[in-house]
This record gives sequence, structure tokens and C-alpha cells, in this order.
Amino acid sequence: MKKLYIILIVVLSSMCLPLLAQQIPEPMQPPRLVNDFASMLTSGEQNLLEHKLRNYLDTTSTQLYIVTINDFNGDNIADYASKLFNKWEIGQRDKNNGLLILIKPKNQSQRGEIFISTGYGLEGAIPDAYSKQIISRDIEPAFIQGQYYQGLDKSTTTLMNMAACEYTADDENKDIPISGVILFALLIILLLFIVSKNSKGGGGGFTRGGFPGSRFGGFGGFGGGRTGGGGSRGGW
Amino acid sequence: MKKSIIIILAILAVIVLWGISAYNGLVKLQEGVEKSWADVENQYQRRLDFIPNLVNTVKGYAAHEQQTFTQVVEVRAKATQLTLKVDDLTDENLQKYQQAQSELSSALSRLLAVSENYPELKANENFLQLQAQLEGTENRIAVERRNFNNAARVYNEKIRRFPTSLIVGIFKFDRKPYFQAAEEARRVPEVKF
Repeated sequence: MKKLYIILIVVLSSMCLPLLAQQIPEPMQPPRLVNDFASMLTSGEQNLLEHKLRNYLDTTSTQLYIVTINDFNGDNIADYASKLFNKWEIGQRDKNNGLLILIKPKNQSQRGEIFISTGYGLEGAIPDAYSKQIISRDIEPAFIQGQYYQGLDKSTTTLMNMAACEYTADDENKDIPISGVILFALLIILLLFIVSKNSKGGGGGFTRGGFPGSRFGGFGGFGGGRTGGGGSRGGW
Repeated sequence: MKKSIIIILAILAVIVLWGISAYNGLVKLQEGVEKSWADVENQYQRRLDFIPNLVNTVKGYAAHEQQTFTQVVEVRAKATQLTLKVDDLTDENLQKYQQAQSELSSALSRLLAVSENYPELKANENFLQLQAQLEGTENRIAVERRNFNNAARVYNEKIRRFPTSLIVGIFKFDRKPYFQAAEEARRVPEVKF
């Protein structure tokens, strides 16, 4: 009987494996714009880029993400980039002004890969032919020499200049999460109040659940942006 | 006696109200499918639109490849004629549509493969831009097809599920077809520089 269980568990878990392998990672916590899963940058370089991107986000509301990752789980980089983009909901919901630079470092057997992914709202400001140029002029020459930070610094500057005219930050965007959080907190307090009044001691369960609003605390916006697959690829 | 009539009326009212909201929900899902179909068509159209430009650019450098050009033009004409309205979306029609589009994909692949033999063409700025655009369009097509399949799946699941399926029996809600995954058909061969 025990053997049967073990077989069952092995079979079931092997069925789950391909499903798990397809999964896109969750963004790093606390939320940040530079998600260096493949450790291509020093922490100092990460901070410099993060600071630069955060400043840009605050002034223009455009979210520019840098993500490095070692493995696409068999997907090609274009599909993987659009899946990650839409899962993380990069960019503001009403503007779709997200940008993603996705990088897979090169290893012994495979060349490095780069993809710049543009949100729906930035396809006009950064057409594919332009993002291709940014890859071949700003990123590839630096990456060939192993200068990852320089390549990213240069390319983000170019991308920022191109996208800058398209969107500007508005106060409304910053207000939404804060007022949302306050509203949510008030609602919880109200609920707790009602529950504790109705049945003494029964309200304890409410304090446990997480606080959904806190996830967005790091940024000025909710996210919610989408991409339609725009962008271009390169490699080194 | 009067009481039971009121109860029956109340139950009927609840059923009607439920029916209305279920119907509206289905309409909303159906509209989602229709919208994603429009997005798919837009991207295919975009590809059709810029093929003449690509062919002309390649022609300028590789005039001898007449056969390849003719083929692309023919297949494009075929794909242009074969439009598919959202009301006519059936498995058979979608398969035909997909077939025409994937023939175009292979013709484009051959065109790009041919251009490999012309170093001057490969260095041409205009050609490089068109190539980046073509690749971007293929990616967009892939994304919109995925979106369409997702929308169709949500809708199909809904119309088959009880008790919504009762509404489907009264009004006309057809099952929507899916794009078949044909990765190799849509993938433009990666061109190394």
C-alpha cells in the first residue's frame, strides 16, 4: 500500500513538473525595477540603475524594468518577455507605458540574449526598428566586452529620451494607491468593528490575512500595463 | 393559496433576473473574444501591409530572385483575399485562415533566407529596419493569438458550464475555435549578422 502511494506521488509530481517549469518568476520583494536574477551586476551598479529608473518613473510615470534571468525554460526570448511583461503588469494601466529590458547572460554553450519589450502605449515612441538600433548600438558593443552596467546605463538613457515626450506623471496616478490603501484599511477596521460587536472574540481571523495594498508601496503606480509583443531582440 | 402564488412569482422573478445577468455576462465574454479577434486581424494586416516595402527593398539588391518574389506576392494576394469575419469563426474557417497565413510566413522565410546571399543587402539600413519590424510583427501576432485563445477558452468554458448552458440553449452562443500551436510556421528564421 505504501509503495502504491509513493508511485502515485512520483507520477503526480512528474506530471506537475512541466507545468512548474513554464512558470514566470515573481518580481523581487520589496518591489524594484532592477531584478537581477542572474547576478550580472554588482549591488552598487544595481543601486545606481535602480535610482535612475526610479527617478524616471517618478517624473514620467513610465516604468522601465531591467530583468536578467538564466533560463527561459525552453521559451524563446520574445515569448518569454511578453509573458513576463504581462504577468508583472509593467506600466500604468491606462497608459500601458511600460518598458522591459530582458537579458539572459551567455554561458559556455549558449550566446547571451537581449530583448527590449515595449508596452502598447510606447509602440509609437519606440518602434521596433529603433529598439533594434538601441540594442545594436548601445547594448551589444558594451556587453561583448563584459561591460554590462555601461551597456544598460547607455541604453536606458536612450530609451528614456525616446519615451520622455510620450507620457508625464500626473498626481492622479500617485493618489490612487494611497487612497486605495486608506480605503481598504478603513474597510477592514469597519469589518473588524462589526464582527467584534456581533460575536466577541470572533474577529481575530481578520488580522491574519496579508495587506494587498502594501505590494505597491515602493512605486508611484499600480502597474497594470500590457504589451502586445512589440520590441526587438539581439545577442552577443 | 395567495401565498403560494407570491412564492412562485418570487421564484420566477429570481430566475429571470439570474437569466438576464447570465446572458449579459455571456455577451461580455463574447465581446472579449470579438475584440481579441480584431487584434489578431490587425497584426496580420500589419504584416500584409509592409510586405511590398520589404519585397521592393530586397529586389533592389537581389534582382535575380524573381521566383521568390513572385511567390511572396502570390501568397500575399491569397492571404489578403481570405478575410474572416468574427461571426464566421468556425474550426474549419479558422484553419483555412491560419493555413493561408502560415504559407505567407514560409514565403517570407524563404525571402529572408535568399537575402542572406547578398552582403550589401544585409548591410542596408532600410532592410535591417524592415527586418526588425517583421520580427516585431511576428511577435505581436503570437501575443494576440495567445490572447485570442485565452479569451475563447474562458468563453467556451462558460457556455458549457451548467447552469449557464441553459441560456446558451435558448439564445445562440456558438463555441469559438482556437488557433493551433504551429510554432515553426510562424517563426521567422533568426538571421545572424
